[in-house]
Amino acid sequence: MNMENPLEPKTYGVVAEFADADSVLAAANKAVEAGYTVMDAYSPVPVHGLDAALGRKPTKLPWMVFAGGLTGCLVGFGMQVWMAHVDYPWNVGGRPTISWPAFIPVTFELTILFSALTTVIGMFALNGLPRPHHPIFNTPDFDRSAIDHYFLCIEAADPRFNEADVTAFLQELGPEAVNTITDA
Amino acid sequence: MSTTETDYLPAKLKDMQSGALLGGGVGLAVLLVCWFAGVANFYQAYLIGWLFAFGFAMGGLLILCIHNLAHGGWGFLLRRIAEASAMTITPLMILFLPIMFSLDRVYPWAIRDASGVSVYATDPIVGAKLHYLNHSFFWLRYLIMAVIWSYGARLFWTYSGKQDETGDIVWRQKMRFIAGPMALIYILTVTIASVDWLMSLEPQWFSSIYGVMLASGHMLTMLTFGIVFLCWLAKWEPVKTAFTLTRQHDLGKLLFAFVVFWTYIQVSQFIIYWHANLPEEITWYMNRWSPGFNAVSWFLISSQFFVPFLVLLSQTTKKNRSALVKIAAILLGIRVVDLFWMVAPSINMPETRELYPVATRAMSGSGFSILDILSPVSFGLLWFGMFLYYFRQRPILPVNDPYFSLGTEIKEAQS
Repeated sequence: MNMENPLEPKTYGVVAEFADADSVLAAANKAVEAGYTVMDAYSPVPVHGLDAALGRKPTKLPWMVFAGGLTGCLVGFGMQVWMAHVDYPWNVGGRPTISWPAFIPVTFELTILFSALTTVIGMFALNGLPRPHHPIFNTPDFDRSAIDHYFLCIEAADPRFNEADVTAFLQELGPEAVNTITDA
Repeated sequence: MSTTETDYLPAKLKDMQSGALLGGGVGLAVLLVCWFAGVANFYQAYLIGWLFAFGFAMGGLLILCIHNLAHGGWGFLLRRIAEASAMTITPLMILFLPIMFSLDRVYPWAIRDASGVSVYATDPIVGAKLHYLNHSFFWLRYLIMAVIWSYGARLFWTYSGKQDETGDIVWRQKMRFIAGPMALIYILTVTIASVDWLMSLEPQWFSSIYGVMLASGHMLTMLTFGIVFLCWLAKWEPVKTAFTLTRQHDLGKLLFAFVVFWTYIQVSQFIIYWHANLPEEITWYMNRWSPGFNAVSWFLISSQFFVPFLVLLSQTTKKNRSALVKIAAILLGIRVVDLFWMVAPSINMPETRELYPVATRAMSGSGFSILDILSPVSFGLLWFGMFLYYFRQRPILPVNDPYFSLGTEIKEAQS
């Protein structure tokens, strides 16, 4: 039995390079039609409809931010109630110890603070960041994904992935180049 | 697209204009009869109704300023609506005359004794304000503001019309050039107007954020109306094509922002006065927290903040057309409640009666009357009729604007 060498680079996927946005959009649609599910596209500008073509689900981030904001709201209000009513009750101008109007600014600020932090941290976490390197950068000419070229990668994680088939399939879509890339 | 007689948009708009003007005219006639008959409830109701219509016109002017300064794609859909709406300011200023002719029945400081001196001349606070709050200066401010607003609206209307004819970018630049100063003039004059027409109902009371409070209402009025009207227009071309999901989402976000803005302004004033708890300041809230009016206050807090805030928070609602129309229509209706809440407690409450005993005898209105419903409905219809009169004169979208990226596509589709 052959032991796989852990240091041997594994195939990450097959990448096709396109010269324009319409081609990459058409390619993504055809790849979905052909039954591929695990793929990603790389583009210098937002391509309208590409998210939908790749079958991306709406992000969970809004719900995380809502939960974060709600937590901030409750923590802010609860903290003040605990401080002013339980921990150190203090008579301020004869007002009740739980004077909610006075608690609004801090509650408001903490709601925003928690929402904003959840947005940033959640965005990083959902995107898998920070990450020192990604196999897609092994693609020859990949710099142009930030300039004027569009890339579609069908990944080896796809259940229907077969290097020869995928390469042949992508070749038919009129790319500038098709390359197999490894994760090292 | 079907173009049968009943389905033809220009004909439909014309019918709606006649209907709105007729309905509003009848309502206004009833109100004026009440005025001549000396019905005490007339003044409060007329002021609320008029301020409702005023919100549309001034909201239109404000949106024109912002759109011409910011150049966002969302503004092109609202531009014609805002232009036509701003043009109604001239007839509306004329419709304010019944209040101008009965200042002493509405504003306590305006009540004069036999020798023509304000009955508050000896009051330490109101007496000192009489250099500002007096009949002639009040009239002068009214006239100056009427001229400025009418002229501003007319400038936007003329430049935009010229641009539609010529497609020349120079008219766009002219609009942008006046938009900045006009935005500044808007907030200054609206502050003056809010002090004159609303705040001086309680002449001892003062708040420096009051003008912004009124302005946030203007923006809410125009945005909610714009969303409802655009969604209705979207049954026909060209709005059908132009009012994309992205644009709808933009307007939903703006509406959300101004719901929050209104709340922010209200809370800013409330916290300061609640903290200080000074007798001359807190009366405003005492009036609005007295039995009866506290229900209105709770209604506003929940229906103009909590409910729309939570509903509009989600992207799904903002992108769902029928949901957005409903929430916008409800918010538009709540504008009237908000204005009632600003006006009625100042005129009617025990605290006011105590502070302004002479005024109460002169005004003697009760908290709520059927006129408070008739008046906003009549003014709403009347405004809508006047709005359609201007709106029908121009193409619905400014397709000749060089910055309107969808414009060329729509023109090609129509040719």
